[in-house]
Amino acid sequence: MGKALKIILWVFLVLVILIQLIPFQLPETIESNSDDLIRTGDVPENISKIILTSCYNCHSNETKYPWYSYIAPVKWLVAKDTRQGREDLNFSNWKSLKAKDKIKILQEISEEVEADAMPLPIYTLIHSKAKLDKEKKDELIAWTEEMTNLIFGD
Amino acid sequence: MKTRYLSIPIVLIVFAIFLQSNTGINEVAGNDLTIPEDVKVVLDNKCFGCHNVEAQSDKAKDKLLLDKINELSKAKLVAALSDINEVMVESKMPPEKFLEKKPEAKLTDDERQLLLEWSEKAADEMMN
Repeated sequence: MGKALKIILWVFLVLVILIQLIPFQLPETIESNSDDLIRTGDVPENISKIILTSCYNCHSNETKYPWYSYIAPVKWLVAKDTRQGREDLNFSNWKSLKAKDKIKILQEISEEVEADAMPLPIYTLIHSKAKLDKEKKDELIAWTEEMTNLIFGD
Repeated sequence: MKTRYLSIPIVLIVFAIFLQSNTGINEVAGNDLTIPEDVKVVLDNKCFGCHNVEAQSDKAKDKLLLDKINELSKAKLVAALSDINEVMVESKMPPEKFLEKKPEAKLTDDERQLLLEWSEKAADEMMN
């Protein structure tokens, strides 16, 4: 029995090492983005702090990858979520978006934050600081309304 | 005697104005979207069945209620129009599974193009 367990562990270890050899790139990190939302100066400090902490790892080019995100199979999951996150909403491209797309995104932020759909529960499980409490949720939702009015020019 | 007869139309006119002003208030509370007749026909025939308050699918109702579209705030309307545009561009609506049961609900290429162009134009107009 002990021998069988040993074999299983060895096979597992070899497999983990082998999957590291599969070529796989994490989405690139770009620190300086001229179209970035925070750089517009339209975002108050309390909001930019929330967004930077809770959203930017997946929804900007400024992803800060923790050490374990370089190890497969975690790497694959992180890469998939980051790629998907940037595709759905990339704050680094904010200025280049059309006004109506900004309105739509602000609506979606408000709805998803309200419904606790974002940040993803699997993300806040590991990144507890990214979790939004009631106060932060309310601040963020109020900001989406302010930004919406700003874009409509009210 | 004459004034008594006159009072009836006056009361009617005042009542009519009151009714009109009431509907006016309802419109102002939402948005001023007007849907062209040809678009309305397609929406009624191909989309309304699932996207109305009485419909069965909660998912469809959650996404869009065509009978309440004029009650949406301007921002929510722009978002809804963008969603319509997106599903038209990607040919995602009506859903494949639904079309298996009801193939007659499929949008023709012209209908899809009509909704695609309308949703984009209407959203742009809301931004002006």
